[in-house]
Amino acid sequence: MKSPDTPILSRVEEKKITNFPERELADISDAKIKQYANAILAGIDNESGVYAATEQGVAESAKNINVSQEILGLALAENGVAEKLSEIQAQVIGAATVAKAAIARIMSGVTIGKSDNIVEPAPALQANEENVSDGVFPANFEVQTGARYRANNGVLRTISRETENGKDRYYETFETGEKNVYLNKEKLDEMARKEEWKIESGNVIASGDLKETVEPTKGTTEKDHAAPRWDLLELTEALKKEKEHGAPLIREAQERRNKIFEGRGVFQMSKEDFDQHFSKGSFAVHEGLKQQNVRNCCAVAAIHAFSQSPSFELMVRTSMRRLPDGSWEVRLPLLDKDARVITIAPNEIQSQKNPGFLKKHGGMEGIMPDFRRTLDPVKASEGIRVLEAAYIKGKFGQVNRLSAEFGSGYDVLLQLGGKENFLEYSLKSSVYIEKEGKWEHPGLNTLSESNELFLNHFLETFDPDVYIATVNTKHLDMSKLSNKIREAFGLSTYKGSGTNKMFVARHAYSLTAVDKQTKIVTIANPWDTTKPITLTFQQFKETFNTVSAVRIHHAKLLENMNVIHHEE
Amino acid sequence: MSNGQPEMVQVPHELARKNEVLIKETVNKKFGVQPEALSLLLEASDGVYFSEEESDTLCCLVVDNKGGLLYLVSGKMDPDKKEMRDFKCDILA
Repeated sequence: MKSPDTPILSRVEEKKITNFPERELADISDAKIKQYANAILAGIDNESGVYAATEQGVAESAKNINVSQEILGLALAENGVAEKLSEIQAQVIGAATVAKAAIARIMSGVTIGKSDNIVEPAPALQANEENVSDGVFPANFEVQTGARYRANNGVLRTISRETENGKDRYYETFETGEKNVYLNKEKLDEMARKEEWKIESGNVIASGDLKETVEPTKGTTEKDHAAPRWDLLELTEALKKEKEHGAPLIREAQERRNKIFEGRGVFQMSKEDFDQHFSKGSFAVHEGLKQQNVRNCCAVAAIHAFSQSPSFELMVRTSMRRLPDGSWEVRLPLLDKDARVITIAPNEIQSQKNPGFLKKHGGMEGIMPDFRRTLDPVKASEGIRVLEAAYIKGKFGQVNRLSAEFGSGYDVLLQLGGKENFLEYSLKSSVYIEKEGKWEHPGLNTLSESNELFLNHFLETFDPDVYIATVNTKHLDMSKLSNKIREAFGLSTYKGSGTNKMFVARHAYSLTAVDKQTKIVTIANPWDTTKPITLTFQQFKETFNTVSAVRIHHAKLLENMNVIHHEE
Repeated sequence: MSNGQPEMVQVPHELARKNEVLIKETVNKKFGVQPEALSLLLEASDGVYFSEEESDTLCCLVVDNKGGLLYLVSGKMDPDKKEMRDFKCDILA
């Protein structure tokens, strides 16, 4: 087992690239690097990038020596070429992009494949992954600049480095636009180890192990292109197959499935209690959610989307119960063997004092003080409010709604349903503008061809019994002061593309239905989920930036009930 | 549910057990899932049943342990109630 800090060149040697010259390129001139970079660009096309990155390789870049882009990434990382490339010219940024993306993937344990998209874990980082899964975070973990990381509390940040007066400064930039500065790298690494950061390689995160491929991008943007996993395609193809049974037989089977759960005696809550505590007035559970003044649209949208799932009632009833004193016991993740019990007291589902009152903090982009005296729970039935509180307490240790602001829909769903019952499905069209050092968040219509294919598959086969999904709108350009002010005053709405319907920028919605015949998507704004919004596929793609979803793993749900008949 | 009437419960389960190979093959043919990854919910009384919606139809819930999906497989029973035919299969969840 190799540790992640095994010298890169020795790892290259393990790959039997024997003629890779061990020389330092960090101090060579920009002109020379430019020359190399152009060679790398040529090299990527014929998969001889590493060789092209060497002096010898410049002359022979056309020669096919059959090395993967992983090695290119390793070589560039070793020689510091990638850092310099980004400073030279637009033409060569594509090479730097590929190199950085390759490095990011290598660090996340994914080897960049060749044209056949076959990938395998990078050996050195397999060790890293194993350590993490054993609950031991690598003590020598080091952060890479230019990469994006997710901490164990779910928060994402991008790391960048700037040099001022000859001194390096490291910035972590959050999705909210907030920044932290570190004056030395050790402090940053220390924080990463403390929070057990895991790399998020870029725009597409599929369930479980990532399988991605990188195409060279010869533009000014950093944009990862990922091929959908073959098994996702298989699933979507399967979901496309024509139904052979009529609706009555399907409904009957679903009722039988529910009875299986019921029959196991694992329900903590009766059907009557569920109906009482999870319904609001005459509305069904999923119809009456209204996000209040807490910026947790992701959580409310996720809970709303979850409540649409036929599995919702089962999972809730197995894992939640109301005690005689009015408090609740919630086992999170729901229907999970390793769930932990979270108790929610009656006061924890009420409004609470805002600890950030009159302070300037991230939500207002540092412009406006926070004028909210109280932070209010989602306006919904008691059970839904308990679920919201349990999510916050489970993740942050206490029901502090301020700490639960922002986030992502799939993260909320994974907190609620667990990583075994739910498999993550996400797709994002955000791009990193290398030259300007910032992220942009255009619509899903800007996805690469392969990702758009994946999105189409997802939409055409969307089934609430299989998927639970939230979607996020595009962002306003926050480099403009006018947009900062608009957002600070809650005026960040814009007209959807090709429709007069208005949408809130950087806001999560729940995806509740897709009509495959008419290609119409139905979504709901967590501000008021009683008003469904319909969009054509094209309008949807132009208006939204992210799909943040999970797929329900029914075998795991059933396994947790111990009802599966295993053959000897 | 058929609790309290074990002999009634046994009939569909026995039939399903007898036709287990064919049931798994039905899933395999339509969805390409390997039979080894499939399990019939034979231990649950509601995992196999005669449909109340369609006469002479035996329904089985089959789970793909690898992919996580749940399938409904149904088959028509011959009048002598010994053999199944006309298998159909759909993803249930």
